[in-house]
Amino acid sequence: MKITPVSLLELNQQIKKAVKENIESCWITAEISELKVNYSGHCYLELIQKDETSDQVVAKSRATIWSSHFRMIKPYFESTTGQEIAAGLAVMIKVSAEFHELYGMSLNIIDIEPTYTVGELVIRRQKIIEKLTEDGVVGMNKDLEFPYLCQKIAVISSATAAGYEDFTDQLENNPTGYKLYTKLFPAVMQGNDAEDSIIKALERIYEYEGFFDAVVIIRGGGSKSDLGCFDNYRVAYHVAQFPIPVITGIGHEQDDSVTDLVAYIRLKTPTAVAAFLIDKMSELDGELQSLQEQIFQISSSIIDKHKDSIHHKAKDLQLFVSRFSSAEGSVLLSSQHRLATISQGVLFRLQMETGRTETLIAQKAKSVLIKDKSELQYISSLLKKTIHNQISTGKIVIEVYDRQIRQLDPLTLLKKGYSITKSRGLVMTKSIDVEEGELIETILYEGKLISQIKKL
Amino acid sequence: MAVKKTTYKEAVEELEEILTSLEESHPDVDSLTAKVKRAAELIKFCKGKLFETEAEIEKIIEEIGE
Repeated sequence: MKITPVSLLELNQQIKKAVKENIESCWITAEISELKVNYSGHCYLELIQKDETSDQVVAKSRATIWSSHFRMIKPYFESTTGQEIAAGLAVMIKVSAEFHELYGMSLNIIDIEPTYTVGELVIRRQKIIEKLTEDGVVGMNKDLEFPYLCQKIAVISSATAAGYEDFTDQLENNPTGYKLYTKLFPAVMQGNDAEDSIIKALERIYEYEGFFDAVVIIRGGGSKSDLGCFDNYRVAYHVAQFPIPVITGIGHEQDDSVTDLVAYIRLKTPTAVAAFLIDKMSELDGELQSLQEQIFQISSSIIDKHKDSIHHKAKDLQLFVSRFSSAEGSVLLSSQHRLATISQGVLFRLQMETGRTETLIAQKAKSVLIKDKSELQYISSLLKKTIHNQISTGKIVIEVYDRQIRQLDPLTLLKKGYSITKSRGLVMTKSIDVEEGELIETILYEGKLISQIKKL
Repeated sequence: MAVKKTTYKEAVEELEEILTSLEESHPDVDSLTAKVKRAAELIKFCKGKLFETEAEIEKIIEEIGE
């Protein structure tokens, strides 16, 4: 048997022809396992199919979207799915199979059906959520108590992301000047490495569990980005069980990712996260200020009450004094008079008695014919002195009484600026003693005033 | 200052206690003075927490490293 070999090129040319003639372009479903866009805008992919039960790869092919198609497919896909075309996505695409002599088989992608991906994502998310629910971890982070003072923030982000810079800038330069501390735990935020990278960052933060008040996962930039790592079972599982509240701001407008669902709170953007944290500080500040005001007010009112009670006592005294200066209080005046009269009488009597005693002694002395004249003189002078002292002591006491009485004298009080108010000839002590329109008389030190009550 | 070891939350709780005690009892001037003085200390402590940088915290953050 004679063997007539063909060259490899000839064979490949035959395969190329067979492929071209027999395989029409068609719609297929596959999963993107790799994706690269080169400088000229062509998109190179690797498509796979996994066995549903074993998860083993059962088919694999290279694929290309030429830049002329990619320019249209990319925005169409992203506007429908809210998602970049990226590895990990299930897609429905229209392909034409092409065989190249040098490069072998490749699928040329000419169209895409984004709604398929949306549906697949929903199903996948649903599965992850179901699993997390089965694990019993879904509500764990949400059930944490949010720290009273949330000030020390662990940030998971790409160090170079614009969103991260905006975030720290916003916190550091908040207009009120609240102090917030941030510590970056850098992580890859998209692509195949994101899952491990984010989990590793969480594990590092866990080492400082007691130190940080909250974890913030942020990713800046546009809304159309690869969310695969957040619709990821392992990432969501870690976030859900994290012992510190996790706040997400992963910058997408569409549905929440699974990670968003299990986080303590889901916010749209890094900016929103910063605003949230500043708000929390401002709440505390407001609470503190209100406490300060309340304590100040109640203290002032207590002091006022104390002041009032002193004033009341002072007023009582004043009233007491002014009573004495009223008509019925003339008792005091007569007492004063009486005291003065009495004291004068006492004084007079004392003097009289002294005089009488002196005379008596003299008489006695003469009549008895004392032997020792000098002794008598001594006794006599002693007596004189004693009596004299008694008199001057009496005088002082009287003077003191007199001064005290004078201080209570209504005239003295009036001189000091107090006044007596009379209504219908009686001294007033209460405002209810008069009626509106009534005339009252105010007695001053010099002169009187007649006034009419306008309002009580 | 005696407030040093307290946390922000504890300080606010103590302030609330002071407020309640002022509302409920009618303290004499001396004990009012003591309470207001303590409240002022606590408020100062809390304001410090909200607005001032604590070197101790900065140091810990630095030590965590990249």
